[in-house]
Amino acid sequence: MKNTIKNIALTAAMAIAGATVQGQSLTGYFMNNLPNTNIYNPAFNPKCKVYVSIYDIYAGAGNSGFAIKNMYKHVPEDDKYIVDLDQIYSSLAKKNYLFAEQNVQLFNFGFRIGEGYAHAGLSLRGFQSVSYPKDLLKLKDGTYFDEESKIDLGGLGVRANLYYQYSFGYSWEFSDKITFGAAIKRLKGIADVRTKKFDLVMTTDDDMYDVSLKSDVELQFSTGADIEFEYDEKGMIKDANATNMDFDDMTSDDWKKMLWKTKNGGWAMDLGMTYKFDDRLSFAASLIDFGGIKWKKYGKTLEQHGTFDFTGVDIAKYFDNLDSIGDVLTDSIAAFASPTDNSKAYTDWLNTKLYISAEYNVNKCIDLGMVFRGVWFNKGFHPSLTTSVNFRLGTATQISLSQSFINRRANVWGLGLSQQMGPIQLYFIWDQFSPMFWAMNGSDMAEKWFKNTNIGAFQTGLSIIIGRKKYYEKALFE
Amino acid sequence: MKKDYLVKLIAGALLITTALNSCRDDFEFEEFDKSDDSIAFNGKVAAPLINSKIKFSDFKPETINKRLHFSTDNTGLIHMIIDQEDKVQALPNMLTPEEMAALGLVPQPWQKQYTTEKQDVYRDNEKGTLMIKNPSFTLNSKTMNGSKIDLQINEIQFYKEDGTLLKTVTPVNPEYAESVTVDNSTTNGELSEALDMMPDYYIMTYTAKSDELKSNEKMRVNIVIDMPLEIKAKGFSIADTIELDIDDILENVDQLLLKSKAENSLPIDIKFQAYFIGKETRIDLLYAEGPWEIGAATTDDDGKVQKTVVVNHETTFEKNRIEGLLNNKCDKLVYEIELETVQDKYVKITDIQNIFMRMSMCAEAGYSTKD
Repeated sequence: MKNTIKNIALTAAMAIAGATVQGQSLTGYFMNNLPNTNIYNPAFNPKCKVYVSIYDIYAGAGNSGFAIKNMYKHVPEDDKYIVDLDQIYSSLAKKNYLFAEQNVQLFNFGFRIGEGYAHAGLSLRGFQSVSYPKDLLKLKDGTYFDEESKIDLGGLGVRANLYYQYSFGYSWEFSDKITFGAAIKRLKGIADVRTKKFDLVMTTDDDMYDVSLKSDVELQFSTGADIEFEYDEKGMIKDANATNMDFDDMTSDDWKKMLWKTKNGGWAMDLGMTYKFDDRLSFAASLIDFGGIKWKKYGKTLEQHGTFDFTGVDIAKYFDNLDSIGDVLTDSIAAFASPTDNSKAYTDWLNTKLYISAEYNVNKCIDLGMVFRGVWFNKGFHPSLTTSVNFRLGTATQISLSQSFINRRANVWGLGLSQQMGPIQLYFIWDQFSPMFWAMNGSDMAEKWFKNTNIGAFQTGLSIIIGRKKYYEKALFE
Repeated sequence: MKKDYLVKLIAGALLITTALNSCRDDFEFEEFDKSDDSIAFNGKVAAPLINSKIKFSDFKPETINKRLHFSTDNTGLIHMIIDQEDKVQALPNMLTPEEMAALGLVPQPWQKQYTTEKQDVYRDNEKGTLMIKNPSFTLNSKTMNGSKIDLQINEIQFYKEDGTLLKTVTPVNPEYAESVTVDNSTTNGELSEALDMMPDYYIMTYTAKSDELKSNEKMRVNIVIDMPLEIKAKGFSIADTIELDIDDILENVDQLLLKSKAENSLPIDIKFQAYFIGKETRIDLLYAEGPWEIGAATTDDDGKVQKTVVVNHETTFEKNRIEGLLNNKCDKLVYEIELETVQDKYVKITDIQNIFMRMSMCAEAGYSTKD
């Protein structure tokens, strides 16, 4: 029993295993028992008079490329598994990304004003991603191929940010059928790094294998530290130091400067509306996180542009000193690869999301929902489609089951649970239930499903909700 | 209400019990447990190696006298110049003519015959015959205190390395001058004949004289051998050695393809071969099928290029040959270039002639992180 509970706890921890690039769970969209569904659409009105969110923690990560099952190949003669780069390569899209996202609500509350609803909150939000092109894995086969010998590493890059978000929102019923909502968000950036541009193409000629490298790279970053780079004689970065603080001996003032007294600010807004077609069918649309942060304090840009064409060494110049050829080559490569830096403010836009949904009330305890979600991220638009069935067992319990098409996979099954106990509401949401299911079910099917998982998220929260009962019709068991 | 509550409770308990009972016992993946934690790479890497326009004057192996250099005359003809210095000679302290006159003596000019040390011509690494049409030897003197010294070349004796005398060349009607030159015209063509024998070294006998020597004077002669490259070559080969460290490069290579391309505008047939040496033993050849042959370009009598020769060549090192190099600890590469002029006539090597050479490689390799 003890082991079982421990294992379930471990599995629950493993459930933080992949996310959409969303910051909000796929499954939670239709969980209208939760007071903070206005994060999906500011026109969504919580079904209560007042709420105070004690905590809401969201964490997710994922890989749009391969899953566990794509990584390994069994070698029967040795009864071993080896990393299968060919399989990983064939499972990739042209552009892929690893990502993780965190959203911690430090406080959040809302209250009804007439037919409208006002809410405010403070969150700490973080996002990290590494983008990688399929051609990166092409290097497993070397640099020369029988067909076109071209490796395009364009799109390789990193993105990470950490910021505070103060949000103030309001929704109002425009008519019996239409509700509008908006939220304004003040953003305070703590740290940011992003690859603004990464173009790197390597070609190898078929005749005499001449190699050409063309690159255009721009990396921007800002932290609370004023970073200065030191370069060696070849122009390569050999060290980076903070001029306004000592990383090895940080004072409390230094931490405050970095984490709280940040001067990098920005704005974002959420817009939304709902339309009640009739008593059963309703539609909603929203645009979330439309905005960005201007990283002006200690904003830095590292750039590298160049072309390196190598057609062989002119040994006529080095007959007397063949040993120097190596140095000449490394100097040439360093001249091509060496970056320059400058202090430049820049704006980094948030991952703006678009939601379009439809909800159908089957009866007072079952809803069916479908939501299309698209995220602008990394110069691309990333869509997903989620369908869900939502059960209300009384006014206190809601269970939501969802299925999503996302990242070329349809095996994303989510589960959401919320339970009211007096004024306290506790909820858990898994966007990809496969890890929990794998932990609870020892079948091969569960294992196959988990190994085919590359995305998921977990959200949990605790809220105090006052004055909810009048907003619910009697449901199952009542 | 109570009934509803009971139903919820029982349903919940059933759910939890079922879930707990079906929990798996181990949370391990066979893939992770039985993984050998290595990643294998297997593919081809290709890159160019050499892209060079090599003039005759660019090639200067260290084994040739270190004072060798090339120059070009106003016709474009390349001259190979060897500049050699003999040892310093201390000259006697003589009375000046004024001092002799004061003593009632008749001033006599000073004169002495000297022999140089052994001076290098060709070394062991050069084989075959290289005939120079119009070579010359020039003898110059340098003094420390500014005395004027006149020189006369008496004879030049050419030897092989073992001391065998090949030929003695004596100038006809030798003259005295501060800088004196002998060539075929002053030796009845014997100078060319001597050099055609590919001597390893020579010793020159010369006479130095002066009307006035300053006190504590020292003299050093230097000999400049000028070989204008109007040449005939018969199997003339030059060899040199390069140190190699191939273990890191070839360890994971399964196959290596070397592509070579040359465009020759030199009027010389060239054969190129290289030998892989390990523990002082020849292990393998670069070109297993025989040396890479590059035909001579067609030039006119002035050395102007009329038609170049383009040659492509590929050679493959399979796994067994690569293993042979590694197992036998190959640590040197000896390359040999053999030159041959065609039609048994002298050809001019000018500074506009060159060999444009390209060499590239494509390696098929396998690598595992476990290694």
